[in-house]
Amino acid sequence: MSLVRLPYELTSYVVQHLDLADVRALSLTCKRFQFLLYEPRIARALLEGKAAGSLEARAAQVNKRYAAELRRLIKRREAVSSVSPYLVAIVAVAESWIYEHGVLCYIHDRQLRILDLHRAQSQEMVISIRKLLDEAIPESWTSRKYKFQLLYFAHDLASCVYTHAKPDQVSWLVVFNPRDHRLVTTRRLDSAFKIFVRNDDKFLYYGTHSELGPDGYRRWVIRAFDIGASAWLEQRLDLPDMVGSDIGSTVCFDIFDGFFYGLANQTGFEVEEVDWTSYYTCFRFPTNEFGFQCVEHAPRRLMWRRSHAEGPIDERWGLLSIFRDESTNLLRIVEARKEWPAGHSSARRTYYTTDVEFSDTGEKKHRDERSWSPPSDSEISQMANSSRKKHRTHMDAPRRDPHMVHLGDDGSKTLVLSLLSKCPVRSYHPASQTFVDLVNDPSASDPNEQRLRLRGGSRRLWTPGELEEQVRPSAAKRQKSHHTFEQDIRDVYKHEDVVFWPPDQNPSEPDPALAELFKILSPPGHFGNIDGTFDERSLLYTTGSMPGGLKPLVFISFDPSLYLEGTRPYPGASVSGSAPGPRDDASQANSQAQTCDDGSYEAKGKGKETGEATEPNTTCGLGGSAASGTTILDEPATGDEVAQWRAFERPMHADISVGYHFDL
Amino acid sequence: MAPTHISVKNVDNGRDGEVFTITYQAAMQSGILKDLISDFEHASFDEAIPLMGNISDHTLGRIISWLTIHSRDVARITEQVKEFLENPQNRQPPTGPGMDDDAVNKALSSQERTLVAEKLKTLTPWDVQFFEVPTDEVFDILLAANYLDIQRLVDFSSQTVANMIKGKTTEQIRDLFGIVNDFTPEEEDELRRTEGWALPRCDWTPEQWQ
Repeated sequence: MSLVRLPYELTSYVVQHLDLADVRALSLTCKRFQFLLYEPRIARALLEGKAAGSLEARAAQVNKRYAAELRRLIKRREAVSSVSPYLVAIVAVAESWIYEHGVLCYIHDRQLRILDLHRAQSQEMVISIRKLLDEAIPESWTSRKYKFQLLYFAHDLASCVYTHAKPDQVSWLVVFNPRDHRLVTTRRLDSAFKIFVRNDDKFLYYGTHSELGPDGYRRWVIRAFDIGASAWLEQRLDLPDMVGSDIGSTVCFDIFDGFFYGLANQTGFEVEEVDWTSYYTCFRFPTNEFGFQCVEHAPRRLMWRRSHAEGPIDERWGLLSIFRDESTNLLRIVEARKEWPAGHSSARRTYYTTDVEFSDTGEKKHRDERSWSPPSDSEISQMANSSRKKHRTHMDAPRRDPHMVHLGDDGSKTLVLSLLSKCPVRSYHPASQTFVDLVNDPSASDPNEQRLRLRGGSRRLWTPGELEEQVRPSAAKRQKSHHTFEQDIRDVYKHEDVVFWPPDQNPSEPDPALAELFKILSPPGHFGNIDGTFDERSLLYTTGSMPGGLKPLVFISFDPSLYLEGTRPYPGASVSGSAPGPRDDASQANSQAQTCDDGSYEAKGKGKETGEATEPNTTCGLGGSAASGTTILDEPATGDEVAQWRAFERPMHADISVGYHFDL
Repeated sequence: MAPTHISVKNVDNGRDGEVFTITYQAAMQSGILKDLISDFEHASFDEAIPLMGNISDHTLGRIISWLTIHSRDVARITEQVKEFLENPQNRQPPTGPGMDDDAVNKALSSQERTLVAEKLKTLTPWDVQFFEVPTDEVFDILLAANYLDIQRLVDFSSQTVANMIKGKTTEQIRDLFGIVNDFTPEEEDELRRTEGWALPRCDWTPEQWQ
């Protein structure tokens, strides 16, 4: 008897116990098993059973293409864990931009352009900012010079802040639905300090770090807009206990499944010399009209973060977010910390995962069936007791779970981990158990030239076979010697070597295609000011230029299904050698960008609407520097408050036509 | 009245094989044995019930031992779970003085069922040892368990086969199970290509925005 001769029904039983990568490996063994990745019933069971929280499983619920989405998911995870993208392209040239839920919003030449990159849309929505403002904010008619900041895009709603300086500095929140060509709301802001927006299809919230407490520290305050009723709620939500002001680093806000979540990793505004324990502060409320009256706080004893005795932290490197676990569909916190573990002279980045739990039942949810059990109920209850008895915030450190702690490399062997400027964009991908950074790693031959690359490391569970063969030293042996938590982790996980992508050039025989690829990743003429955003499938970043100036947007995708017009198979010329394909008159007239002879990417003047010179105005009329999503504009009102402010155009990347795809 | 023990005569490819004796409780874990016992209820169970599943004596013997070892699992595990839930702190959602009896009982029985089901799915150290046999024998047990309709043993056998596959490359899986690579080089090339592009290219029109 052999695996090949098992009946279909039994093969499907076996497959349900495999990880997705194993299913793929099995499917490639022979023709008999090819069906595993093509059979809708098996694919659906795998997607729903092992990756219910993934983007692909949710897409399959809608498009019913379970097998295709399963293959897409497996390939995407493999691409991330091996740090091998499927596509690299210059997708636009922009003054400012945001990238949210796979949708790129960027400002170019006084237009806000919106492109759904996850869906590789062949059309961009183009919003005339001036015309939009004419309709949205009558007070803007008299202001020629203003600041326009992109904030957020979700559920077809784009949120921005408009600010003008004269006669007084005033800001408005502008929310609109570009798909429906509909202005949703505007609101004059008392403060736009550290403003953020989050919304689902029912409610929109904006928060500012603007309320001064009696101790002189700023607090977050949140206001809500009922999208269905088209009305702002009178009540606001003050968050006096949310310490932390840097979104994505010390605090984060997000909406999942009809709940707004807030999370902070700081315990107090003051450094408390006596209190050496740190907790997450986490709250949520339902996204409905009574949400602010139903705020729930996660019990502190379930939100233990770290003991300061574990070593000092370099806060500048921190990453903090709430994510949906792809396997369980449950929410979790992931935090990256650069720490000097007690007794170590070099720092190491470690990725900590914590369940988001609001149920104070005394029993932690079981997370993984393999070889680790969470703290017992009596342990938890002891912790709670000791917490009450001791200092008001002190709690004995609970045992950590090796599945929830991913050890990064310590950086002692590489310079990129010692300087933040060398490692400007960082990410962690829990589904692939992989960290991926965008790093500046100049070549040995030209140490002064910026060379951007991806750098990543992954880990995987030791296989049952490897455990049996004792490829790694057994836990039993270790217990006899000095046993540490790091060894606990290494007993459960095999850590793969850190890899760079693209690979180094061979100096004796340089590869022209590889040189071309490096040129896409580090656009010539652009240096420094690196800013980027990772999501599950991709990375988008810019480098160079002064704030507000034009920068090429580099897009790296790990999604195998994504194809962008204008990209070429690698290796080969990354720039399209042939003339662009046939286009209609409108798109020809609106060609916005071209590739210059020196390899840089430049915006063309449009002149479509105003006929004026369109050099971007980089003068900052409001003082201070603009953030990555902010553009300073200088343009008079049209005086027409009902003009069409939205149009569809050919995406800019199709005209730039610079990029590679790696489909083999 | 149900017998305490029954005898099963193995019939392998038309030939009479060994006769196995098993407790009634152990036999009831198998859907097929349950049906056979029901069919033979009018008899006195003095004679062995013939089992014509083309299962080898060796494999059936192993399965009988598995059934015997696990015959009291449901009762034993349920007892353990009940004991665990006696502590109100272990209950989820917590039950307290504010809840009426119906709500408490409903919550408890639901949690009890979930916990029992979870524990029944877990391979015990005895099971791990049970499957420390040549690969072919694991497949024989899986097929026989499937024929005898012993869902838990099917699940355990499947888990064991899956554990053999986990973490291996395509080539290693071929080696382990003696799978012949029947792809031509052209087909492999094509496979890599189509595997790379899991979905056809999206081409969204402005209308699809709307």
